[in-house]
Parts: sequence; structure tokens; C-alpha cells
Amino acid sequence: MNGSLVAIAFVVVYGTIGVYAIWLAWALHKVRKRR
Amino acid sequence: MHTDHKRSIPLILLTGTTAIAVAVGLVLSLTSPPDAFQGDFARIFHVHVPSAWIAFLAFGFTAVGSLGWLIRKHHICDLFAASSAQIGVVFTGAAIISGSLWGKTVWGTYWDWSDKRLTTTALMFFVYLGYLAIRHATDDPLQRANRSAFVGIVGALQLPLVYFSVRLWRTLHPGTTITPGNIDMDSEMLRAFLANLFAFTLAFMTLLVFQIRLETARHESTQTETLPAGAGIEPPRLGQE
Repeated sequence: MNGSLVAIAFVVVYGTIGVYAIWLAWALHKVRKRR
Repeated sequence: MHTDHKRSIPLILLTGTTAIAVAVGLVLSLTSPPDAFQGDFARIFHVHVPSAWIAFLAFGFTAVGSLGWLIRKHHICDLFAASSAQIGVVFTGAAIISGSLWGKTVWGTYWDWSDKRLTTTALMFFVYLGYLAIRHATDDPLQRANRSAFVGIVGALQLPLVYFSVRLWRTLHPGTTITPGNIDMDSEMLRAFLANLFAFTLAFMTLLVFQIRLETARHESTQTETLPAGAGIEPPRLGQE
């Protein structure tokens, strides 16, 4: 169980940055398209 | 179009450099030698500490932007503060989750409310969640900027408390591992840590630039939408035909 906690920590942190970047690109695209 | 293309080159370079830095940081984290006492669990350090560093940096930027708004009353200061706070909340969340997972492996528990670093970090997280909530509480941009600037400055007062909590109270959370002149770490582990610190800082800068662009675009579209009815209609010119 403990070994997988290290993997979860990496997935959570890098995943958060990745998902945030994708959301940001999508939101920016959506706002510009509306304008 | 040509000017737009020229203007986007630094942003493309920044994004590309960030992607490479993050990839290098990840590889170095996973290939650095395991810790003598904690084994592979110590690898969480490489993502936990940079996330916490970004949280401090982001909330510091929020305070600067908030102060800028109160002095200059320019909307870009407010958008800068808000953008930084949003990213700061995301990285604080990442630091809390990665820290909890590390705590489970080392301390045997995900969370301990008696630990001052954990408690003050949770408080900081909720204060800046409140900052973001306040921004959605009103549609008036002036009122929104004034209220959130107040929270942005008052909220920054707790940053030294969060940072120095490990020195003021000795509880579960370890003290500062790396200070100038005292680096108690294997050179390969240090290289991986510094690579991640650099990568996370670049990632923050890139996200901040894009977040400010998003907030600016939203701000401009709101300004257009809130024009008074009939503002774009010219009155008929009678007697000129």
C-alpha cells in the first residue's frame, strides 16, 4: 500500500498541473471564440 | 496578424521550456537514489516542497497585486492578484495532498490537527478559497477589487506564521531541510530537488501569464456586455438626407 502512495502523490501533483493547464487553454479558447 | 505572431513567440518559448523542465524534473525525481531512512517515500519531497514554495510565491504576488490595486486602482493589478491567488490555491491543495500521503508513510497518519504547520497551511488554504469566493460575491468590478485586495493583504500576514510554524512549535512536521549554508542532502537528491523547484517555478510563471490573459479577456468581455442599453446605436440625423 505504501509504495502506491508515492505514485499517487506524483500523479496528484503532476496531474493537477496538467489538468489546470488544459482547463486554462480551453477556457481561454472559449472566451476568445465568444468575442 | 504578423504582430500577434511575433508577440506569441516568447509565450511559446516559455511554454516549451516549462514542458521540458517539468519532464526533466520528473525523470530526475524518479531516478535519484532512495533515501537512507525513508527509501522511495522521500521522493514525495521533490513534489511536495516545490508545491508549497509556489503557494507562498503565489500568495506573495497576490499581496503585491492587491497593494498595487489600492495604490494605482488599475484593473491589471487586481487581475494579477486574482490570477496568482487561483494558482496558489491549486498548488496549496497539491502540497496538502502530497504532504498527507507522505505523512501516512512516515508518521502513520494522513493528518494531525495538533501539528501547527499542517493546521496553519489548512487555514491559509481556506483563507484564499474565501478570497476567490469573495470575487464571485458581487458583479461590481470596483467593489470586487476593493474587497479582495483587503483579503489579499490581510491574508498575506499569515504567510510568515505558516513558514516559521516549524521553528515556533516543534511537532510532527520536520523543520527546514535546506537553508543557505546548510544543505543536508545527497548531491543527486539535491539536483533532482532543485530541478523540480526550477520546473515548478517556470510552470507557475507560465500558468500565471495564461491566467492573466484569461482574466483580461473575461474583464474586457464583461465591459462590453455591461454597456448601457442603446449605447452602440447612433441617433438618426434628421434633416441631413
